[in-house]
Amino acid sequence: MRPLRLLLFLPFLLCALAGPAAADEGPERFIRELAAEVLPQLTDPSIPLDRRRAQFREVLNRDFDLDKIGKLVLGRHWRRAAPAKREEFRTLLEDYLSGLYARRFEDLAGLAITVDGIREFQGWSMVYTTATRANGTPVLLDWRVDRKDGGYAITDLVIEGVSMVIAQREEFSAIVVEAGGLDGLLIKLRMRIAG
Amino acid sequence: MRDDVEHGPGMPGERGPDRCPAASGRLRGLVCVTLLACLFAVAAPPPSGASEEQDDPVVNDPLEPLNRVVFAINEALDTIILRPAAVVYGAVLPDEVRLGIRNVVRHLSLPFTFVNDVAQGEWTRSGETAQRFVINTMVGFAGLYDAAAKEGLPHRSTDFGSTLAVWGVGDGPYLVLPIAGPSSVRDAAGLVVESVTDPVDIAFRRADLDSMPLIRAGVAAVDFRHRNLDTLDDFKENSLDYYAFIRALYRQRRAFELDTDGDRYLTGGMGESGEDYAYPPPRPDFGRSRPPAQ
Repeated sequence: MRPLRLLLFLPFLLCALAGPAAADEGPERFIRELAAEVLPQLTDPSIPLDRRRAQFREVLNRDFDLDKIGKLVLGRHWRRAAPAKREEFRTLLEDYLSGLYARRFEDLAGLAITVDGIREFQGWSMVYTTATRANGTPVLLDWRVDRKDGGYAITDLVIEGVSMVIAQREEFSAIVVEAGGLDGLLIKLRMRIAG
Repeated sequence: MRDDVEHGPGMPGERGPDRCPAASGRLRGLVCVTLLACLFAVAAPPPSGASEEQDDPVVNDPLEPLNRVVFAINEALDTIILRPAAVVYGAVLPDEVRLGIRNVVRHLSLPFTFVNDVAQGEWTRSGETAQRFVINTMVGFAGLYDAAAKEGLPHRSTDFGSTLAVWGVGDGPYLVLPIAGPSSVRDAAGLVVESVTDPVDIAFRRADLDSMPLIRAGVAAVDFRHRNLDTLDDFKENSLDYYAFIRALYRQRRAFELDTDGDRYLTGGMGESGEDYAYPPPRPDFGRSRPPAQ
């Protein structure tokens, strides 16, 4: 009886053993491809700001998960917001981020990214990389990668230990609290995008 | 804010609250006790005060109104004094001279770094700090030239706030100090201790060079400001609430440097079902010499 009963456990055992070994390499490959193919386009110094902004918007919609980022960045204010407000916020966030980062990519020509490692968490992974700028300063740059539409999408960037989502969320939260509601933040975002 | 912390993120987590008074020194014990007493006295008001933030465990800033005032004054001082000084500093002095100045500033921080290395029980690191100090004093023309870095002893800095963290003192509420800027109750206490125990400053005073500690701090501030000119300009221009942004930056950076779980951010319900977890997770130590991506 004993051996048979052991056999029953075999599949579980195998699964448990195989789990860590067969770690999902998808997120790492996703970031590698992004660094090799998408990043050089975004940081190409010869393209004008308008085009860069449009390009980044495309990348933002394809390789990032803006719905999730919006949710993470608004935190509790997201949970309280009406669906229409959420939709409005998501649109504004897209405009805001594409403007902000398009400008930042201007100075990043020649950025080289090497993957340091990867860790999996519940439902998402962290791809740890080191980004070396043209002038040689290495920067620790970590990508939070979630699943999206059967593929992968970035949901946060952690630069030298600083999560952009957390920084943005504290900022947004401070504005919502000060203005006494989400509308205050939406107005401020709209002004920033227009200005 | 200190950006020149180059001891990597992944110091092994073998530090614990029980490390505190273990080793030598009546004086350190005394300092430790006095400090803890101060900390508890200052930290007395519980951070749960701000009614708006009750379900948001991320922001520990009960003094926010006061902090914002100090922050605004600091910003004004930065705009009219520090930033222009940093711009001039960058425009007037050639790169090599600035590098030399930076090396000296860092060099003078080493004795106090050594004290902290020892207090943190980091024996290997304290030895490296001492070696670095000796090499750069002898070969590097009193620190002007960083010869030790070429010998595999790169600059690393730590401070008394970090030592307190290693001893298990939590960071406490966020604090904006006049002139010194973003801090926490713990790190502010660390600065107070540093201002009276820094060996180099003590030596300056003994030698009747009473203005040297101030000059040294001023040069360090201008150097720091100059190195962060573009970054801070970008942050200031692009942030929607500069105060909140800098607060998030400081606290995350500090948690990252110290790698203590106590300081790590709670996400305030960032999980799928609104649960909290420490985020971002501690970065694993991959070592410095990992082979490049294939």
